Amino acid sequence: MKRTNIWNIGRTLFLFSGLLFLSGCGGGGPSSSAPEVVCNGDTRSTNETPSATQLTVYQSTCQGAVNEPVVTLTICVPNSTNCENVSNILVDLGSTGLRLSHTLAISSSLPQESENGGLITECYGFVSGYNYGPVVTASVTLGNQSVTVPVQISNSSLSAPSSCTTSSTGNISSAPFEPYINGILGLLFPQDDSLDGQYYEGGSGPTTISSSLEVQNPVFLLPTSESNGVLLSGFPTVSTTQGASASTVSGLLTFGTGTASGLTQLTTNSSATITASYNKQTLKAFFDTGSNGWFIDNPNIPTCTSSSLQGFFCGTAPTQSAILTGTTTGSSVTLNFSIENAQTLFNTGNQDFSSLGGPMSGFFDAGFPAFLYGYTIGVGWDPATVNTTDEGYFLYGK
Amino acid sequence: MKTNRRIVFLLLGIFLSLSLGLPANVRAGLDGNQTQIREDAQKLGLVPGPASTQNGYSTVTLSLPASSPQSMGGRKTLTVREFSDAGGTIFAVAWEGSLPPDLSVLLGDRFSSVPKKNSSPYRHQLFLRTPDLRVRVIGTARFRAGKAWIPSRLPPGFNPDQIRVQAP
Repeated sequence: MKRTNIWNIGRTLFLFSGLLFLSGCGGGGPSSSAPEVVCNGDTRSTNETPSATQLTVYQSTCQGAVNEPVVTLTICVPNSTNCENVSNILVDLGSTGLRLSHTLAISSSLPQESENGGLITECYGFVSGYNYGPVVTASVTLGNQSVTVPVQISNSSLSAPSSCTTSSTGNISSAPFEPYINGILGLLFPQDDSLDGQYYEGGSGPTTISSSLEVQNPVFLLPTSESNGVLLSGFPTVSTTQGASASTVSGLLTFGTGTASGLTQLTTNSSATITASYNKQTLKAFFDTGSNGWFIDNPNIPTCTSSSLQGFFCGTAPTQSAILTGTTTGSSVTLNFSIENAQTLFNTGNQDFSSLGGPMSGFFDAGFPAFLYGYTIGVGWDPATVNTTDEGYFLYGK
Repeated sequence: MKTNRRIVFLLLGIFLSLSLGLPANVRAGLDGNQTQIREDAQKLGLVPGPASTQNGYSTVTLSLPASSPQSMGGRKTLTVREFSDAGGTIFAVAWEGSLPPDLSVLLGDRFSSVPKKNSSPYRHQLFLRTPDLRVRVIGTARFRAGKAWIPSRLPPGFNPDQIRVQAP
């Protein structure tokens, strides 16, 4: 018993050492001497049987991440048989476009885009930090369809332009993918990422590049019936008190929302947010597989005091309910969920938690835990208007 | 000998406090004073609203005018709220919107304590904890909300949960 506890504590520290402490090293560029630690995890085997328009989603096999849904994508050099099956690509409803780690073997073979005589690079800002690197062209297989799409290579060993690293663009830190993920599949609308990224030609910029060369959500390039959004479904209902082991948590990513009958459409504004009514407050809300918890406004739930659990709730709130409403139409859905003590959850040694959460004033971020209650959740758009309005919708239902 | 050393330290101390106190070097945001909020707003392209005084602290909300080029006709948003204590010193800031604010303005001199590399596995959250600075940011690539505060400077009875862009 004692041994188990020590093991669990050690494991928790290991799992969260990367999460909670920003590394103090590095200046503009990374240390050149330190060898890069990469994710060596393979595709997890599951019982899923994806159709021609689906991919299996599994819990990451990279080290140290919980509530991290990923897919394996076949990435090829366009018009060649030079391909690589890349595991552990984060399924992200909160960003736009496909990004791959420079440490992958295929990355150095993918042809870099150029315009006006200059090779194209991009700086893309996530909340956790920026990624800088070349924009290349890749053929990506989504279900049984292959699309050729501009993709960013995140290369933290390159020195990023000062306009990328300076705080005026909101960037704070560099946030390399390694060793936690091999890439990010950003499935949010609109089609390209020009709202969030800065482009450079031959190192000069930021500048405007042709929109066809901008990094894009590859779903927009699929045949019409599959290009209007995605659904995430089939994940198990996970115990709110114990969580679940990674080997038991998988689901399906469906391209196209054509089978979305029975789902409620919640229209977003141009910032891709909707509204939550929760704990007697009106909050800005969104669904996001790239958030690992319910980050919500509830001052009544105690937060963790231990620095290794910073950012999470350490209180228990078993019967929570929020009403999520679309921005322009009145349709709404009710989410019933639980919050469990993060320490209790991590002590189980599991990797997927439906009740992991943390405080955020004014917000209702329904992160990956929201996908572990047996509901189908999706993001969609009208391909004819989304690129001028930046507005789309979330889908929710059984 | 000891006296000499004391004098050297005294002079060094005076020099440091003078150089830190010179207006040209003053950065507002955290540790700044109320009068600098207007300068913060200007640097961020925002317009300050009136000060609102609560129990032991006051706040000013900085908004992005719809006419600003940054707003792209209303497609981009940014709102910032700065919190100052009874002595007028800024101890907390909150922000939200689709435009990320320049944190070197909002965090003031404490921005330099933010590491240049983040080794977290999670892309949509940033939790920073140093002995005298807390930063929390949550959001997608399209919309984010954040707050930063100096734990030792919170007024008596003030809870970090009160650091928010909109009063509940």
